Amino acid sequence: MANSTRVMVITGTRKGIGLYLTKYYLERDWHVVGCSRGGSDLQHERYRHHCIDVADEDGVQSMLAATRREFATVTALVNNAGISSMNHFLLTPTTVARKILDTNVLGTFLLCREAARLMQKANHGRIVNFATVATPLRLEGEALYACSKAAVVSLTEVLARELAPFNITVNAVGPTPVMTDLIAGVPQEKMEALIRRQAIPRFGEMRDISNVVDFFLCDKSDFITGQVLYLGGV
Amino acid sequence: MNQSEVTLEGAFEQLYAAIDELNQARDSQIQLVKLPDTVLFGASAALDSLGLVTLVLGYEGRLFDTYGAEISLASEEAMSRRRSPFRTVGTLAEYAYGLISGNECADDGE
Repeated sequence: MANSTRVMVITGTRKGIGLYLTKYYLERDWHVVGCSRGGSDLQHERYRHHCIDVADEDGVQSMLAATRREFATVTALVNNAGISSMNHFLLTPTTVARKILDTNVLGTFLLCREAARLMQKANHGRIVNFATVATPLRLEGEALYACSKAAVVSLTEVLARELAPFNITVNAVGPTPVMTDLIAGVPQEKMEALIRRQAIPRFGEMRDISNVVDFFLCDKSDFITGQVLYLGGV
Repeated sequence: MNQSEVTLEGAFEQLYAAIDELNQARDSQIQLVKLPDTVLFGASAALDSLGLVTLVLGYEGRLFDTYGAEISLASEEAMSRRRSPFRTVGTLAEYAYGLISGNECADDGE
């Protein structure tokens, strides 16, 4: 592998923001290792897809071991994979609650741990986790989603300190609603009410997210860690 | 990548190489001694927590590169042992050898 080769692991790359970010960074000469529970239609010489559940430790370790064999290290990790479920708290099944926590919290933890092990060897790395404005806005109907992402924020802040000695930064982006499948089941009036609570009341766009990820990844951001950047002025 | 069959001597060699790598980043007064009895973990340990993490990850990396061993030394099983495999250089090398070869030593604390 050439020294200049940059390798990014992105989770949840089959559709939505993950697919967008994958294409975005492939266009910018990154090698991208992506994953989702299902297969991907994306074909690119610098893209590797793994069918795994991010909450499955064996699957995550297998993906990172394959990445290590091919590229020796990981330059950046973008923990995009996440699920939500719009339910009143009183009507939220335990299975749904567990699934949200497994994917959003445990999945982020496992990917951070396994990627940071490779980054530590290179004494460099960038991790970008995904928070949400649903947490600071205390969004009704998204209790488990909001609290799982609050856990991601806490994880981000603590890992920033634990990984700083290895020159690994850990930050998070907190998107506003973006038109993806994640919000497909949310009633329109709920979405509009949420957006009205932002300083800039509009839906987020994919470029808003890649802009923040770019910022966290750039060389000049090596003194920025443990931060959560919420979009839309939340 | 040509990968060798693991031996106990080989497990020690890789750990000593990981110690060499670690020592390069340490002052001459606090070099970790490459002996089986060198204490790694506990009250009289030569390493702080960050040093131990660096050594363990460096060792895992060498075991992967040399033997293709995809192992996690800091497993739940290792952490739950009454006598930690991380307490000395010797116990760590023996533990790693056992994990890779399948000849795991029983938890001698039980």
